[in-house]
Amino acid sequence: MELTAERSLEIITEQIEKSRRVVSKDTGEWLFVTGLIAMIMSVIVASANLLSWTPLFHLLWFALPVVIWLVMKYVNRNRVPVPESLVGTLVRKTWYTILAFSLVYVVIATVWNIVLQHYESPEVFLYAGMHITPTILTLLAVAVSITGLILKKRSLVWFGFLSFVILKCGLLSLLLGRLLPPTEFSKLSLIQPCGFIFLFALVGLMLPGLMLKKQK
Amino acid sequence: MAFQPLDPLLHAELRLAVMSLLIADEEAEFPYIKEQTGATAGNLSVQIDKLSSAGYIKVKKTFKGKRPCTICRITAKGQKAFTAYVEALKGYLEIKNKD
Repeated sequence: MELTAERSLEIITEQIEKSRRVVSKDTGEWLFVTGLIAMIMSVIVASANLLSWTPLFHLLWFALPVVIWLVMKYVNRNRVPVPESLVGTLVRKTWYTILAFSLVYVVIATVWNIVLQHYESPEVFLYAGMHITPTILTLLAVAVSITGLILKKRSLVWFGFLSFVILKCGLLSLLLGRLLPPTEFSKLSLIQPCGFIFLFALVGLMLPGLMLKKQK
Repeated sequence: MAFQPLDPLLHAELRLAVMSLLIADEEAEFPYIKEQTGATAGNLSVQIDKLSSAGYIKVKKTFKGKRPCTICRITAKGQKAFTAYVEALKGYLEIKNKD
């Protein structure tokens, strides 16, 4: 069969599109698995905190990256590896940057909050304490939207934006506040971050991940 | 306007598909190229050898654990040839559109 100019162009476009789709699906797999594990983990951490009445089990969050890495290694064990590409590199570097910011913030905020709680009154802590969960989740929501822009998936941009709005509207805090009796408000910190993470993992990670995974 | 000649090495379906894939991805393993192009292993090997002999791609044979692994990467010469091919294609399409 003779190769026409149109057919040549078609082949080039097709292959470049295929490469983008492979990166999209791979990103979808990561988002889905990360979302699912974060949701399960938030249920475990919240339950453990409530049963023990201590916030100690929040430390389990540090194990999250390791669990995700191990599960992804298992999921990808028989797959042909996705090659390096400009689109893939852009997505990866976006997430590395956001995760580096998040990690530095977590360390600084944890140290700051411990010092503040130790030397200052609860009132001072209330306005001067650093809020870890909302800040990290905002950064992650931005990463989801940027990933959507790079992959040319408008729905992913909206999922990132939606998860950000849900986090910021205060509805979850209101609901959790209503669930606990007023005498137990101080215990809100045991479950509130888990509620935020669960919701974000569902809207910002798992659902868009599933959508990218299922694309043709 | 005179037509620019199309590089005969690139003007073949499978070789063009391989080059397009390697333009998008920095480097790719043989099974990935096979999967994306839908070619048979034998045919793909022959075409990769041709592209490699022309200096358009670099083929690295290595091992992944105990399994052999062939990695293809586009060279600067290959990128230049691909760009020239696309430019020549544009010329053909512009003339066709004018007609």
